[in-house]
Amino acid sequence: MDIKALLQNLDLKSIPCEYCDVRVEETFETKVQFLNHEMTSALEQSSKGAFLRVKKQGQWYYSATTDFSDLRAQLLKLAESSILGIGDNWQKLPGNNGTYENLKYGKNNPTSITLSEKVELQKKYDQLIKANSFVKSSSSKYVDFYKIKTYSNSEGTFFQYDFAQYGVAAVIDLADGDKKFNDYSMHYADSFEDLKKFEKQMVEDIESATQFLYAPLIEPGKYKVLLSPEVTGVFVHESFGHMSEADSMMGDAKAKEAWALGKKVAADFISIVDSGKHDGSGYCPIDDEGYLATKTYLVKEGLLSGRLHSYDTADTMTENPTGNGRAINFEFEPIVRMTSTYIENGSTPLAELYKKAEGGLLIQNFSYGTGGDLFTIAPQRMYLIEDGKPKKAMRANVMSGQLFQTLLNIEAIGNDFELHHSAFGGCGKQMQFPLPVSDGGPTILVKDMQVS
Amino acid sequence: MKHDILIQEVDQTTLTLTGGKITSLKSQKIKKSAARIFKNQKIFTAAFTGEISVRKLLEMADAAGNVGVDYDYELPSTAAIAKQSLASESRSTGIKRYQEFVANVTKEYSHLNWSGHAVFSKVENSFHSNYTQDLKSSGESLEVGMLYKQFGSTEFADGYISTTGQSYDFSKTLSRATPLLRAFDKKATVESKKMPVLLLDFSDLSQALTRDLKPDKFHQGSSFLSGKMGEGLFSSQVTILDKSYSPEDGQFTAFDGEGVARSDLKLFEQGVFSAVPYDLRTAKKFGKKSTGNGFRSFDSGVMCKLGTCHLSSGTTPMWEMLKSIPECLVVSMAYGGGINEEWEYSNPVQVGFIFRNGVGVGRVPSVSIKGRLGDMLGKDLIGISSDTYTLKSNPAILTQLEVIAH
Repeated sequence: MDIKALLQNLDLKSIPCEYCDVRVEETFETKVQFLNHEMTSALEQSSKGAFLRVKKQGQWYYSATTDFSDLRAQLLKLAESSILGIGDNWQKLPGNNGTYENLKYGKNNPTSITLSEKVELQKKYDQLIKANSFVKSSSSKYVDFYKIKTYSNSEGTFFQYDFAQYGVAAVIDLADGDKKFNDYSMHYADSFEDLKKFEKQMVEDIESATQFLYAPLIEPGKYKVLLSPEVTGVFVHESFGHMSEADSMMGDAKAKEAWALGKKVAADFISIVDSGKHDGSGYCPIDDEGYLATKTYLVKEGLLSGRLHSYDTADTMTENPTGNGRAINFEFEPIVRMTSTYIENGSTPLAELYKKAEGGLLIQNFSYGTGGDLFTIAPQRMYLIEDGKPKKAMRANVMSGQLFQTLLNIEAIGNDFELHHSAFGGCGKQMQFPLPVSDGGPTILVKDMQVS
Repeated sequence: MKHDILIQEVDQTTLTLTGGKITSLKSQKIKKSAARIFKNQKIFTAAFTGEISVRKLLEMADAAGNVGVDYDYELPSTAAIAKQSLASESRSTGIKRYQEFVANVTKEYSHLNWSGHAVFSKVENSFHSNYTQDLKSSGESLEVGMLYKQFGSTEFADGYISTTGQSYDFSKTLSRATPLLRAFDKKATVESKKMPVLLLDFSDLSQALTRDLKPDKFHQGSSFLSGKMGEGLFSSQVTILDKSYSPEDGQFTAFDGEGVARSDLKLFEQGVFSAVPYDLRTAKKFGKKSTGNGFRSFDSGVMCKLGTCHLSSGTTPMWEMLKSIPECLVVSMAYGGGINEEWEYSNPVQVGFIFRNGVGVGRVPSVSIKGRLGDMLGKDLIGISSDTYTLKSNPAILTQLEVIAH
């Protein structure tokens, strides 16, 4: 089935509604899993589905389907809907954003590699877990994912692009008597060849996990913390990124005052960006409503500078779409989501940051984070900083902070910028999880973080 | 050659509430299928989204290049299952009721900004094979979650109301939240100390048990529960089940992904650790019987895990329990932390209220709570409610915790 031709021949302009669009997603994915060195899953699967949207009398009517026999009939059925009554019309229609085509993976994608090759690679990684005798149980995974998105709307906008990613992971349960610790080593690549390069790092991760078995639990309180680039990434994603998503401001005229552009929210050396242009798990060159990725400064030199939009939220707030209308797959509508979100690089050398953080904590990586005005990060590996170095392993359940106060508490930022990607999990919002995103920044020094 | 086909069909209508208005309606009916063939002591799998014939799916599983997974256990010979539990009224009636409910809530609490979803689902699960009889279970449910916040608030949410079940009667949905909504506009303070805390939602418990009751982890000594079978770890008030077919929770699977019938599994009975879940692989490995916990979705291998972890209810409604408590922190939203491998618990409290003798006196600023799971459900447990606040039918827990003012 030629999806491009199918969409181009739909004649969406003739559907009796204010606006409509169709997004088709063709996906291929592989999952290989070992549990305690026994392979328990080796599965490739592909799917093809369409998400249809019709805007009528200011209300949205959606349908998700795998039936491609008559998409036009399905759109006409949606256009007959009236159950929601009359809603709020857009101030203006989206307009024609032209055509965007970028199938950049060609034949170099996961469909061209045999399942046997993938299984053999993961077998090698799985064996590395045996390097640590304290590991009592483990799981390891290989995943890959390839997607072609094709889109057309009643304004004339059309796009087609593809995306691929690969990942390997080991999750280990360590024990020494009553002492327990759970840890992971997780790696991302955008080609199968690049995925073969993580053996040394995985061995180091697995061997160095042992020290955390004996790490004491932190005394709850406020600490000066150094966040590694990976943790800076989740900090900026959970704290500022989610609160910059404009759908949380819908129906709330006062929100625009609380989030007034130009407001001072951080030190002058802080700039926070979201952009779908970067390669990696946050790659989104054009969003699921046909808007090209932009480089959106959420904070520029300490001043609130922008927010993330879908077309609905941009039109309501009379601002410009930012290319952030995204859906996790063909079963869902686009909502405001991040892409690659990060703090721009700073200038302080790492050694100087450690000196400034004496007596505080280094959070090296994390297990998960949650968003909101009170954001949280669950530290995985954490160290007490002594003599200008991360010395003593410590454990904590959670680190939390108030969004605006924490931004103002950033005292210095390093010059070691990194953007982090993941093929496992992703961002969750409303009912849509997991969405691939990237996040990052340099190492940052924050005072008065609540750790417990 | 033995084979099986697992099919899940979901017929769903979702309404979205944004800025106090219902702004969209989504319909979807999607079928997902998986085939497994058993050949030379290996399992070969194929998965598909959409309509596909059984023959085609089996051909995909048997295709050259597919890689099989070793197995050494006997396949089950389960007797036929046919369970169905439908909603008492039509979906269109449910949608109308929901629209009326939203109109009432947003009118009565017009000083708050409301958002959320209502999901009407009909789920049909089936398992066909040439080694068991046909297994089918299905049901309908509604899941409503509504977040609220003050206008101009920089919070993600200031609270929520929710309901799950098969009834489209919303009369109790709002009344459960009324004590919190009444206290919402007032402010209260709390000092750092150990004090009674009512946890309206304790999903951290099921997450910890899901992690620590993996059979490999349990038997190989890396779980907190390793070596503790038969020990009294909690108060005798605490019974925790892994529920099987449970329409009130939107759980409509009466069998697992390996064709084994499911029944309620008592993980803790009156505080005593009493069971570990098994799938066919781990049952064989550890000399046990499968408990019907070999779950798989259409596009995954078998994972032994808990289904619906359920804490048995007490005898007193949650707001009644508070009447005899001079001061209590009621925790409506607390997430981001959880229970670690050594069963130490801590969480920041996103939304919490001080109640004195059952009356809400106001919302507290940012605090954290901390304790040990064994104590929280053991010596420090005050009571378990007879009713529920959250989406799934788990009761509220009243216990003593360290409260840390930030």
